[in-house]
Amino acid sequence: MSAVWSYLVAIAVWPGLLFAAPLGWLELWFMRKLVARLQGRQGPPFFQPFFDVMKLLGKETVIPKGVNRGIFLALPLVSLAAVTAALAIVPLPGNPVPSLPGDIVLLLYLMEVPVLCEVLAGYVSRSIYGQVAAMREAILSLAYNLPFLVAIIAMAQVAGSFQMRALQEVPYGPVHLLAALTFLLALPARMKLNPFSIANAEHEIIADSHIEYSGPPLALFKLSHAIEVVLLTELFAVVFIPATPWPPVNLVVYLVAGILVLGGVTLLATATARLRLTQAFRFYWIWGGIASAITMAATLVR
Amino acid sequence: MNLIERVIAISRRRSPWICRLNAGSCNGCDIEITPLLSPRYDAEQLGIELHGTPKHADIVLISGTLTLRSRQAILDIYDQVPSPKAVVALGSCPSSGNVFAGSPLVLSESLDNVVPVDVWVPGCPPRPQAILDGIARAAQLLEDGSTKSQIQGQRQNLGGRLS
Amino acid sequence: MAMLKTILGNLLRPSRTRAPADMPVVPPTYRGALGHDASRCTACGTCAFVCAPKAIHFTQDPGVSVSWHFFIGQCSFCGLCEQNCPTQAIHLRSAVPGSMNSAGGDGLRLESLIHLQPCTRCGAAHVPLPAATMDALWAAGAEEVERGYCPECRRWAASARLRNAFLPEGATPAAEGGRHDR
Ligand code: SF4
Ligand code: SF4
Ligand code: SF4
Repeated sequence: MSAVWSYLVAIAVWPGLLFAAPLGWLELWFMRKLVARLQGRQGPPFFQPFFDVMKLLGKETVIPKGVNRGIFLALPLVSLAAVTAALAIVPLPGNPVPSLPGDIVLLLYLMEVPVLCEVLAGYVSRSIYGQVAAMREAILSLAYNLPFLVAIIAMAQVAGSFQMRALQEVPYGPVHLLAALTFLLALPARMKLNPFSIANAEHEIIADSHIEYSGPPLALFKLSHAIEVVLLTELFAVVFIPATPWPPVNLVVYLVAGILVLGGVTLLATATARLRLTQAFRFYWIWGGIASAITMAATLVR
Repeated sequence: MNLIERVIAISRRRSPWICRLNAGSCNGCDIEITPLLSPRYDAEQLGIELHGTPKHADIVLISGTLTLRSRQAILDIYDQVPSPKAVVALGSCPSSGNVFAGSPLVLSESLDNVVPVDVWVPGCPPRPQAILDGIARAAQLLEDGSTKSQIQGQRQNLGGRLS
Repeated sequence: MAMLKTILGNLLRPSRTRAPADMPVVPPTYRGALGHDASRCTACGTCAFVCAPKAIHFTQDPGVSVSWHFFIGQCSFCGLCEQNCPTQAIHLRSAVPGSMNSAGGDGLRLESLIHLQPCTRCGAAHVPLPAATMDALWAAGAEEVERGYCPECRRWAASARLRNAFLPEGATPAAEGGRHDR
């Protein structure tokens, strides 16, 4: 199989769009159902995220007056393409893409693109609420990226390489644990879940930065969010869960680990109320900073 | 109807997102929407989500007396809802003005004269189960393609094709 | 931590959600759908008078019938009509009025037709008294023939009885068949 084909398969089939979308819907359903059950509610039916996206695909797109059509419609596509491409280079078992040197840098870059798209989506919408959401998103990303990036970079430091496969082969040690905790610290804000659901504060600033989006572009944003959830959980699993020599077992372990992580952040989200932007920012720069410092120190001490 | 259209039609029924519009309500009807999100009635079991912006909504719940000032707001917000869309009128106020009819700033007419209403939920205020039933009914209309705006859209398409 | 305990407790218990087909029961005193019993109504107009939003009104077909109209889209379910109806012809049942598609007009309208009856004495069309009211009135041994009288004839019959009561023994009573003023 030529390299081009393997990339195409990785992006379109496994671990890309064809598998990631249903997996993302499953994980979103799991989160929503868990929230509902924790609140003593029945919760959505199993196919709910799928129905949501299909319905949005069948709706009209209303484009606000005075908005740049090109950028407005391109943002969700770029966002979806970026997360799918990012997922395609995560070395899940059976991923046909060869490991490249420095693919971690590419991955981290691609993972920033959806955030950037959301910020831009808020600003191009010309809605005041959208702009507030975009501003919050941008500031929050400055905060949570500290522990998030440090967790990955610390692992790269231990492995001595910016290559995903090398990260997986690092012998298990205390740095794994510390880096995993640092990563988990950043995860709720990365997923925009409750104590840090500041950028998508529904009913406070009405909606997230997609406030002016409707129909298929909104569906693409929802899809890209679903895949982002898969990406984040699987990235956690791939980097921090020790791999076994059997790929099918690995796959099952990764998926279960992903669901467990989601369960944890959902529990946190249900038990807490939303913080203010300054509080979240302070939290990440103080506690996230301390966690990052400890993790980096552990890589040096080793 | 091909498979994709069928799936989309079913999705319309299974995923009705609502947006709430208070046209001058005494708040009684709006208070009765809140229990829909509570554990007992849990609107999410029908896939209903409450959204703040009309751009994300499929069904607009309009409550309250129409006033001279809210008339334009209703029209603006209705226009922002991407079609296919449905309108559910809550309580007696939108259909007649209820006890407020005849006040100088109240538009004592039916909401139907402003936007096409698909489902009326009677009551003052309606009970939450009646509201839930009204939303489910509107969602069913969306699936069947028989909300007033959908029918009107079809007519316009036909007219465009014939002329 | 207390919150964590609460939500984990929720997770362990079954959900409290009721399915749409199994909604909580409505309290028996709930003022829901309004019903009207034409056979008890005297078309006195009290309900229309006390109704603040003017949900009730009357139309008539002169000489034939009176119609009582109700529009649910204008009712505030205050129950004043039920409270003030002298013959208890109106009841607010505890059933929740269901939502309706606008295909059926702009909401539920009730109409109940009250047929006029000719007076057995003068022939004038009038709203007959409800049977229960008549039983209550005529139980006291009043003249059975008066049951079919119109209000005017009843008044005339009552005054005739009064006049006769004042006549001295043996005097001829006032001539029967005299007409009331109309
Ligand atoms: S219908 Fe009744 S409860 Fe609802 S807004 Fe009107 S007066 Fe208030
Ligand atoms: S319903 Fe009762 S109050 Fe109304 S007109 Fe009939 S008798 Fe009178
Ligand atoms: S319940 Fe109140 S508002 Fe409704 S018809 Fe009777 S008097 Fe009028």
